[in-house]
Amino acid sequence: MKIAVLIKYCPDSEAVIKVSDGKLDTSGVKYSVSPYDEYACEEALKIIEAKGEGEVVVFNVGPQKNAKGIKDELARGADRAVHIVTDAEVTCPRYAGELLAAALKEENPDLILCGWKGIDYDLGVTGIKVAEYLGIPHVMIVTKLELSDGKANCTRQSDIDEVIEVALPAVIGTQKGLNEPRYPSLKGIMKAKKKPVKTTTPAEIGLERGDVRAEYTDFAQPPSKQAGKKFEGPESAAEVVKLLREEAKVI
Amino acid sequence: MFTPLSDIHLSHLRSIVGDEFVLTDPESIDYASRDETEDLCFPPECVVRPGTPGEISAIMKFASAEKIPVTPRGGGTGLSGGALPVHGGIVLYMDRMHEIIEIDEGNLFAVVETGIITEMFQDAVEKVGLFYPPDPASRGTCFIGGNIAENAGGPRAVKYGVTKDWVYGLEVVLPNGEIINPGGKLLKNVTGYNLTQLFIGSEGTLGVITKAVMKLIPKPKFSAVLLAAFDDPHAACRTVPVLFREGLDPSACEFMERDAMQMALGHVEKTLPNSDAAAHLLIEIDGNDENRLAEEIEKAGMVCDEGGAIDVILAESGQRVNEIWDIRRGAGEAVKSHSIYKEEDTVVPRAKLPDLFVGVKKICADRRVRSVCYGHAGDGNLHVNLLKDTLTDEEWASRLPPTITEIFKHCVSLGGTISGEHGIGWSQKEYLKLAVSEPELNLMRGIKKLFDPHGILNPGKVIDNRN
Repeated sequence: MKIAVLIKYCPDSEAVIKVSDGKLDTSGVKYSVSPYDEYACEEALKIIEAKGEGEVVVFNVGPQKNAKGIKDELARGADRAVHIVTDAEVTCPRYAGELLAAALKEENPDLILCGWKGIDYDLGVTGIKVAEYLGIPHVMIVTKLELSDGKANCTRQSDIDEVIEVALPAVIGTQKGLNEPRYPSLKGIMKAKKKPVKTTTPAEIGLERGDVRAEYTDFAQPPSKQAGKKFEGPESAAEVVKLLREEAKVI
Repeated sequence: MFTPLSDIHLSHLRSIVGDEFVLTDPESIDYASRDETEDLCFPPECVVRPGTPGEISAIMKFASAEKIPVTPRGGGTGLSGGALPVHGGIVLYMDRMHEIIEIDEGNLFAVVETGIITEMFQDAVEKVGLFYPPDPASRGTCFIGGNIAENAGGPRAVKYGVTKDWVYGLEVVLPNGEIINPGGKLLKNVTGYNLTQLFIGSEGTLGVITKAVMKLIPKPKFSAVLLAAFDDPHAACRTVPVLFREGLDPSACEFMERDAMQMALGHVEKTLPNSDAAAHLLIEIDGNDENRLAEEIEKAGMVCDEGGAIDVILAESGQRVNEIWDIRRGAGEAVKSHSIYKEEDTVVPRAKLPDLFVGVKKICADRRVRSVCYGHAGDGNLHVNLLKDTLTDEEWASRLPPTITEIFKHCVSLGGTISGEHGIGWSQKEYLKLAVSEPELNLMRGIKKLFDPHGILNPGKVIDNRN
């Protein structure tokens, strides 16, 4: 069995992103693989380990620096990787999906796993676009996954847990709760150095311009919250009621 | 010897700080009667919350004249009873004096009032890209003033040193009410005796520290953590000096034996692949060059591997790094919630750590007292928790003192001492003579007498007037 894992290399969840002149300032910011994608990679490794045969192939689209994120997943146990190297961050999920789908077509995986969204822009679109471009089903926000006879039984997290069956190949978007991702080990890091990473470019794929229909034009810091007001003692009740009525206009 | 507080005393204190800042209600008294040292409890007669050094000066003059004991208190997280009013009197609770007066980015110094919580100070300087490294386990609640008084350490001490290495100036109210300002924003300063450093680690017995000039550095951009599992604790300890000899400069190098790891994992509800390994080393490396950091982490991993590690795992993302640290930081509370305990804060030269660990385990096994060890391996600083566990009260009472004495004698025989970062305070006083010679004790007594002739400031701590 061949499982593809799509990963995004994002500013670390602890990183502080500043905005200057309408642009994101990511200088000196630490990057790591989006945590949702770590669930995807862990699930792929567990499936292959249980089967005793097969391979996990990591896919990523983005600039050269993403090689570090790819290495991290190879160190966790993935077998090899495909890196579509771009000059800059691909911020349009439609275009990212198009590039990934093209690279995936060549590999013909039996199952595609990815985080249900990236931790940076929180869009949750790329995986769905990949499924669309490949013409295969997708299930997102999956917290339990069982495979049998060319089918995937997915539990999708909602107010009520929904169980959805799809035919493979399919794109499954993984959510927290699916598993506990392992830490890479030193041995894994050493082995990762020898694992093959195939690099390609949008030009080689023939999608240099791609299907970009939306672009970010500006970034701004939201206004900081106003300080709360504090009222003390029972005698302030009348004042609170007055403000709720006149200022907050909630009663 | 001391005067009990009367209503007249209380009303004079109220006239100094204001009515609402002199507290005698049961809740305040109960709060000030404990810290985090075992189950010790010494109620004060009142709690005073001063707002200015001037108020503290007036209180000290009054207390000196009236022979009333005064015990300064920070966050109350001490582990040797330093903030406990063992002779009653006034607890001087410093929480109102918590301003950051200045963050001087040009000179890389901050000036703070000492009632600020350590983590809030750290967060404030990190907002401008700066860093105050000392990180005692209690940093979320302890005060900078308490850190200075106890010369607090923490995991990062191995690279960045302890509190004393970051304090360059102080404002101190002396027991006679005089206010002095030794030191300043000066990297070099040889002008008479170093009074600044004398107050650091003085455990609140020489003066009330009200302001501090703290050195800062730019915050390192990247850090990563290795966790190495060993099936032989001795091998884990032996690996520690090799890391340094190989030229690595870890920002933390921590040791946990199996019981500590398993209790901590239970406490934070986590699992790890090799949680049943006999010992773990946690190694953190920080820096500003991501590639170099990756090389160093790998090298540290190789050293562990060659030292006999059965597995080495790596955490790089902020989330993963925090997960590992939560386990290590949870160890203290986890072990202490397990049973009645007595914690010893042994420290030896780094390369003697294997001998210290083996000796401690043997002493405790021979005396049939359960021990759980963890600590700052890179500093040779091993926290030994002696647990009452299944012992009866009588067994615990009779076995504990000889066990502690033997552990300390072993520690001193290795060139170590009996407290690395928790201080002597009240609870370790009787053991001080095991580590400090009589002439040194006499000098200390003389210093105390000079600063506090009436013996009213934090009486009964560190050292007694007589043997």
